[in-house]
Amino acid sequence: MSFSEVDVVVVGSGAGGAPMALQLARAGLKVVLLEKGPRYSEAEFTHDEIAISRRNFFMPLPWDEPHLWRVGQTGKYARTNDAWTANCVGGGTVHMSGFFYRLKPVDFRMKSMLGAPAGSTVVDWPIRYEDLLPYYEQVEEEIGVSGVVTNHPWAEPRRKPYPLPPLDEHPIAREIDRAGKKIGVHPYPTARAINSRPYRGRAGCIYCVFCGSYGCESGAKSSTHSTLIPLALQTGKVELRPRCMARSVEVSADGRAKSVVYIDEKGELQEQPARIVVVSCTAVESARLLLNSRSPRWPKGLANDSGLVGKNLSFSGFGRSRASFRISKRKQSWPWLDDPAPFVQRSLSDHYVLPASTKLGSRKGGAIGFLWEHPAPISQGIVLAQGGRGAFGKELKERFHVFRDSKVLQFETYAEWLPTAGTSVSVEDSVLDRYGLPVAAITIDRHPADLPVTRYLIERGEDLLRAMEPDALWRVTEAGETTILQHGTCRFGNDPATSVLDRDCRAHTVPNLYVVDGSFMPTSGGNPNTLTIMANSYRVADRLVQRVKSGKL
Amino acid sequence: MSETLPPTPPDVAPEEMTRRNFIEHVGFMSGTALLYAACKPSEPKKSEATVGPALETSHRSLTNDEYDTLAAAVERICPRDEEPGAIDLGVPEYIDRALATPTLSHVRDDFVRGTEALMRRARAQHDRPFPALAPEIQDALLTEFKSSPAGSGEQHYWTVLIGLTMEGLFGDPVHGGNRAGRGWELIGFGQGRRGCVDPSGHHHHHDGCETRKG
Repeated sequence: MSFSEVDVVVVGSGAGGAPMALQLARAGLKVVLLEKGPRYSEAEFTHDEIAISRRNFFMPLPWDEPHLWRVGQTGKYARTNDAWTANCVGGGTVHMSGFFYRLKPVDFRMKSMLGAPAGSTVVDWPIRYEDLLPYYEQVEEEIGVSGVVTNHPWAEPRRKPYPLPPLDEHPIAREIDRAGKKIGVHPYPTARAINSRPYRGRAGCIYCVFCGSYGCESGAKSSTHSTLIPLALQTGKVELRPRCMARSVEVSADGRAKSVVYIDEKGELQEQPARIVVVSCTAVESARLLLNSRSPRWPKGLANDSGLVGKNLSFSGFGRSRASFRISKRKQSWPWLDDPAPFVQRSLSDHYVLPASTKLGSRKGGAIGFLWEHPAPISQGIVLAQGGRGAFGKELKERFHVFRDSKVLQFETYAEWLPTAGTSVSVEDSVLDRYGLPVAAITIDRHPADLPVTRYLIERGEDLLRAMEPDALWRVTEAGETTILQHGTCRFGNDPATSVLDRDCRAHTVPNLYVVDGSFMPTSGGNPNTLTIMANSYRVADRLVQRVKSGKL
Repeated sequence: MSETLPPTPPDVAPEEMTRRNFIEHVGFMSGTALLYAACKPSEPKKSEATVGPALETSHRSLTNDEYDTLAAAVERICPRDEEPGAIDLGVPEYIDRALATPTLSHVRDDFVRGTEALMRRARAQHDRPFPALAPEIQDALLTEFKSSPAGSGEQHYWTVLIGLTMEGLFGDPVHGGNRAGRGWELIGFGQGRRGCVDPSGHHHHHDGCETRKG
């Protein structure tokens, strides 16, 4: 069956899709919002690790809806469930930790300021930090971000304080500050998309601990599920359709997008016509949707004249080290150590750009975020059992006991991931998901300069941990990737030959098609990007509404 | 203080920690996904082959022999000492129940295949069923599985077995393991230090997982 035409159909209800739906509705447009996953109630966000983290509550099972993953152009694909974010209303903002960093001016002008390393596809963005500034403020204000502005190296220009004071932090934060002072670096409080007190009708944080990787039972986490989606629905202009998996964006004879065809919750094929189509399914899945939208006009996939849809994929350079502090040894010196306060709340951006004096030269680095281990006892049990050469029996029980007596402080890096011609998303026609659609196939071809930079950040993070004099310090990973942070598969730019989207995130060759998840970002930035995706979506919505009002769409 | 890998706490499993997945370093069943692709696809299995009327079972997913082997194996992984062991905590029942989840039929098929391999090896090497062997011999057999090369069926079974055992030890008690939350005591979880509120939280039914209202 076919529905009657609406003004806009938005595919995806996460960080990119929800602001669009809300802002377009506020401008009076009629919007249908498609979301492949269910709409959970807050009561369904339990602390049950088996249900939430180890089954298909958030992510599909790898035999139902795999991603393919290979390293190198000739590598063999393996099935994985990596590179999904939550499949539910609110998308990745539901299970995020809510580390809400802004990008910094240098992120918008990497090529001009630092140069493009040979073998990378680094370019400047077609917009500047100043273009996003008012929208960063709008997001922080609208959804509720808790934090305090301090001065530190590479702090981005700000005009306003955070709308909410910082969340309570664990006393370990003071020790991080003290260690920073000792070694001459500048830890600063991490802003969080979590209400530190009741805000705009939503609850304040109850410090339940089950934050990152879990959904928020109190609604204090500022996911789009708890913030923008309810606002959008209140306008009366947005119809939310959960459990609807987009199959393709269809085009009319004149080459404009005319509808989205999707599989509804009953497994039936539906078509929703619209004057404007907005795609926001994550950088991997949006590329897949466009590449699967093939037609005589676009045999290689919709809006793919340049061949760049799916190219220049970037994640974030992930490194991690851990320091353990034995509770029994510190009863006198740190009696507060086993305080259950969940938030460490410290970041380090001293190395956002590496100084020219390093042997790596003046390269883009990134932020380092400090946190406690996540409250995931099954996962931790697996790590204890499989770590090193593995252990079971008495040895495993001893590991349990050491763990029980330890507080483990860790950091993760958000290192710039240099885009390359090789790291990309394609679709694999021979592997179909449970809907019968070709799945996304990811090829990783990392730039050789990435790993030394990530390692440099890890070493600086370890300097800080070491200055805290832990009982043990060990490196977990130095060459990983954070697959929840995705960018670049539909990079924006001014030249249709070298970009998929224009500066307003509108496809160069399909005038009524927009992409507003992380796909637009030609470079990854050195911070988690959820806030940036949301801010950009507000910006694009403004531009889209202007265009509609001036009769250009 | 050590810069390198300390004896304890240990370093991490190779596969699950190199990538930060959207759920904090938890690959589904820690790596099974990759292995499903690497191995030849699980052949669709006729359920009669394992749990047909010819075989005796009082369990949901496993035959009595498979169940007894599993119970003996998980008790070697987490043996009872002054604190409870895997059987005390309900791990075998949990695993049998989890494997009955319809969406986990792939896991069940692989798990049964691995358990059968362990049973065969016990018979072939020691001429007795696995549960009847001395603990040291059971440990030696399990070590063979644990130390098998990545990508082997034995290693895959070990990975799945550890994943399910940890779910049974440390998962929410509504699923049938971690009896009375006593598994959490083994690692200090939910004792006011790693959780400000009862980690059981509240429970609701949803797809893909057997839960009951708690």
